[in-house]
Amino acid sequence: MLRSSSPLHFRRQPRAFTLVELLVSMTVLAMIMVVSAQVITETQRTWTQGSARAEQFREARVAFEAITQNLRQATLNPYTTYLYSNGTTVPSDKTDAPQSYVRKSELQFITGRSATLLGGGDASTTPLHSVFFQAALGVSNRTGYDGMTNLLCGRGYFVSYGSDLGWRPPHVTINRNRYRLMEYRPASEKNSVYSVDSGLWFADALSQGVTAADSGTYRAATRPVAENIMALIISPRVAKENLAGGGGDPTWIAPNYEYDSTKVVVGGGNTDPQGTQHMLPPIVTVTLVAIDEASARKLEETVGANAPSVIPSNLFTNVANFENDLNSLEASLVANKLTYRVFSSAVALRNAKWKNL
Amino acid sequence: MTSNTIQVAMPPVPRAQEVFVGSAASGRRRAWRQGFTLVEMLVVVAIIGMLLFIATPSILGTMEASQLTNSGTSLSFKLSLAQQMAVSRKKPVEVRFYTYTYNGVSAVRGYQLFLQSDPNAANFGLKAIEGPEYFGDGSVVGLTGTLSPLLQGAGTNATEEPWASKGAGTTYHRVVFYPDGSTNLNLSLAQAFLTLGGERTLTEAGAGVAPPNYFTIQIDPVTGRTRTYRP
Repeated sequence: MLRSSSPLHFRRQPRAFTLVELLVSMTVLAMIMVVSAQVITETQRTWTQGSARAEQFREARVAFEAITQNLRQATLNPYTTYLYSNGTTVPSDKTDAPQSYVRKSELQFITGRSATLLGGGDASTTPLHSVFFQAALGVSNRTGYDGMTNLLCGRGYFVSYGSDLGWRPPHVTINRNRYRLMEYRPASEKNSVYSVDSGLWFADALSQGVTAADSGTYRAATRPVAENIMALIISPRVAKENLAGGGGDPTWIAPNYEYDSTKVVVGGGNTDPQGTQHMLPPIVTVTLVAIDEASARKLEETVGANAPSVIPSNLFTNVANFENDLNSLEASLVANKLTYRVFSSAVALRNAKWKNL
Repeated sequence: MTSNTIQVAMPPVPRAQEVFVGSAASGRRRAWRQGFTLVEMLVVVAIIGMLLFIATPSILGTMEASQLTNSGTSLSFKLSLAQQMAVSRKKPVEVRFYTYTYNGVSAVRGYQLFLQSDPNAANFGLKAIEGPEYFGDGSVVGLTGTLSPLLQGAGTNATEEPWASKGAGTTYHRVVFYPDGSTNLNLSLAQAFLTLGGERTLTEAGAGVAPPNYFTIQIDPVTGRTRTYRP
């Protein structure tokens, strides 16, 4: 009775939504959801890419630091000695008189194309340059020798493309075919007196990679130090003040990026008949091109286990074209939609006594 | 009965659920709109509850995954820092992985960096570089067995530092980075790794079976470089 007199009585049946209202609201809702989904996806993608890039280039940066720091310590321990008629420093008999007084070293500093230096190397799996040298880096296989930080041992760096099958943890099922910066680090024990055969002492750098044979007692000499390093470019040069009259080409010691401390190379106004033999280059320009993990994954998807042909052939064969070659390489990386970063630094070799000799 | 009498005796006041909407000043007839009924409210609450129930596992999973990522990333950064510090300071840097019981589960739950400042002093003149770090809020742990050979072979000892201990029976495994870049690990590269995972996977997955989500950090015993693996 009370209720029937109320005006509310006639509103007991609430008006329902019409089809048009429902459609409009659903459309608006759908639009909002599409927009927000897009925003979320975009944010997530950017975030993932950003963090991947930061992480990736951190590894490259650490590797770059390691190369430059170790390269700076390269040494040749040169000395001067008599040269006899038989072309060696040992006379053939008592009457053999010395012919000349020459600079000599048992060690070697060598840079050049990996495909040539590594012997049997392939330009697609071991692209561009490598460097091999000796330095007091204190690597020893013997326990208890880990404190001997001044032991002289060989060291080398090159880039190679391949799988991580040899060292991947057993429970990891994803195969990673990547460009990697490899470090050749034979122990000091392999560096005994007169054991450095020029051009040969690092010949096992490729075959000494980490395999299933690696163990706690047998340590492979060539180890991966950074992933997704596309290119290593090594250019030995002299400082401006080392040039006669302060002019000329600072790269005359290695116009083709090839420097071998056992070879006689004369030029640049240098009057020494031995030229650059048994001398360290005063400055070595190290350039590292790194890509990020997302790019590397994409690259792997397109080529699989075969080495990708991203680096145009015949690049970095002439120092005069360095800038052009670097531009071509970057253009190729951009064309392949790879995110990259270039690290470059001129390393002054501490033991290069260029002026004193 | 009582309620009936009260209703009859009372003037027609709006029910508590009804909300006054019109304006008295407008002079129009008062409009009363009906509020939500209890049943309607219950239905809404039930729907919200159901949605939460459906969403919770995936949200928890996402949170756990992000904690795992954070813990793993920061551990790999710290290991990398330890290696670089050993090289730059020319002193061995020791990383201790602590195992202790939390919520009734004994597991590797944290780590700490130390500098071995003096090789001849007792305990290598160990100096803590920083306070201990813990994986997540206890939801992330180091997995054992074949998923973390590094935590098997790196040696274990009762920890001496009481402030680092989270309870009795805390033990640690240690990894030492030497100035030449090498480590104390007597393992092959393929075996020199440790794996982090959610605490639940400790019991769910069998020994040696990789959980659906893990964070594996490999330390090269020779160069001391770290590398990470995710599924």
